[in-house]
Amino acid sequence: MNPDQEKEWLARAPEDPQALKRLYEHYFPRLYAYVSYRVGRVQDTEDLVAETFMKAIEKIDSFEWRHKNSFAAWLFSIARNLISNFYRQEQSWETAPLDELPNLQASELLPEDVVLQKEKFQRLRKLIGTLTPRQQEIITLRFFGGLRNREIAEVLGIDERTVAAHLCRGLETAHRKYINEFVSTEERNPDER
Amino acid sequence: MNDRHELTERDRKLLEKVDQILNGTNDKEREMDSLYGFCAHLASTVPQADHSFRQQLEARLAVIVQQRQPHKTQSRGMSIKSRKFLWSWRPLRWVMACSATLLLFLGIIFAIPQTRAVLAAWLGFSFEQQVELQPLAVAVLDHDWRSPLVEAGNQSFEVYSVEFPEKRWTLIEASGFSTPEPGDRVMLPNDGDFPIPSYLPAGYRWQGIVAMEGNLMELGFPSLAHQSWTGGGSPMPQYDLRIDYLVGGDRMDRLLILTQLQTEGQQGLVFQAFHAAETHFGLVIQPAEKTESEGVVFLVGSGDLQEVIVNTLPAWWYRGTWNAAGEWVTDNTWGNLVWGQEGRAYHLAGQDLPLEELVSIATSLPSK
Repeated sequence: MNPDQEKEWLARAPEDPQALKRLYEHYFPRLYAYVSYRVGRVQDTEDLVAETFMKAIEKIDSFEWRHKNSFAAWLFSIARNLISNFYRQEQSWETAPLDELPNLQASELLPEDVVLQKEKFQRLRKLIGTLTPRQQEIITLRFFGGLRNREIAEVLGIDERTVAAHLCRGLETAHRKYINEFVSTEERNPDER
Repeated sequence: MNDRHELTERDRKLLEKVDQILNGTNDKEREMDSLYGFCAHLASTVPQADHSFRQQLEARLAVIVQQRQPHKTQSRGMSIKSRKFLWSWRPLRWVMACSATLLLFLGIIFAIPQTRAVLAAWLGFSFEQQVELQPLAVAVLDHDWRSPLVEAGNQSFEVYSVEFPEKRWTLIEASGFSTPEPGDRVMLPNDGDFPIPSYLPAGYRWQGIVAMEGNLMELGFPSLAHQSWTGGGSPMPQYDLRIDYLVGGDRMDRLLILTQLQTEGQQGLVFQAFHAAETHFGLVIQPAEKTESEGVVFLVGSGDLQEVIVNTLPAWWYRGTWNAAGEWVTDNTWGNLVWGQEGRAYHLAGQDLPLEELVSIATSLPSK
């Protein structure tokens, strides 16, 4: 979606379901993936994604186009605030049972593949959960929300260079932990698999 | 962490790699023990929403948006209701048509030119007579599909274009594919169907069916057309108009084409159907400027447009077609017949066929 198209759809979205549909199709997968990593459970994710879009529509008249990435930043700010409220009410970043986690592939898989994929998601989510809150936020916004560093900086109200530094440190730490916890163990003790 | 958040050369390379991975321009990183491989792994682990949830939420949001403008919604709703009301009386039409009263009524109607347009609108289509084919359609006819179409300003449009090969008879004979049986009713993908006229002029046969965005190869019909779409300007409101073509011809490869347009329930869009350059058919779709101009419009030249009767209902007959330059050609080769039946508009175009033959084909169209 190019910025001019997005700007036009945003102008029409308050009254035109087709324009809204275009925006929805563009942002839904990214928002869903981001919220999934932040909260884990499908039910919570669906509630929060729905609430984000509802709030966005409710407030869209007050949205002010400033640059090509401003809507993405605005939308994810709404989601982030809702997630913060969720955690204030719902305890902490906890591990959910596998059957309550989202699928990684839209197409139908064999049951054992579904379990493997959910385990993969759970492992990575747990790994991200060991990082600092800011690193968690930045990695999930970058990798699953599809936001660029400048947009993330806007969502979090920090400098773009700070975002880049947190992203690098977070990825290095997560990778190191991943090697220690999974890859190295499997390579060292292949019989235990 | 460095408080000043200075980026090292290594950081810059990592950020560059992350960009490449997330943009899908780096698919080399596979090894999980490398940092970049880990990033690629992370980027590929994207949760997917349940399809029904996604659709339900979209529907909820659409309702909210519609409720935000009560006046427009009401007006649109009334318009749809009014149209449905008209169409709901369709079953009565044939009963009325059986009576002499209707014939008398139609006779009176035909005598008053102003009422023709109203009647055409009631039947689900109308005509637009003009000297030249509109520039948009000409651009499509003349377009080399290997390059993008130059848009005319910022106007919104979509053009669906179908082109048939000239030498069809040999193709059909050599292909060994099945061909539509006269009098049959072919079920199309997406719940549509195409009734096949049981009458054909001597030496002619039905050769195949082409459905908009539908592949009929699985039904055994040869792929007889090149289909293409193009568009520009703002996105079009959603529509569900169907357009299908029944292709026929004789050994001399004279073309006989029956176009079926599903016309019911369309709002706010104009569908302008044209036939040009011998084997080229098309549909220009644009937002309606006035509510009364919505629906299917047949673009025809400024020559004669005569009312005839098909199945006791009014139909329209004219000679001519557009050429590739967008000029109306009336060399008397092409005869065209347009009529409505069971909520659909039909356009029959044949080469060197008199009106009587076209009417015979039209009246042999199976009804439900």
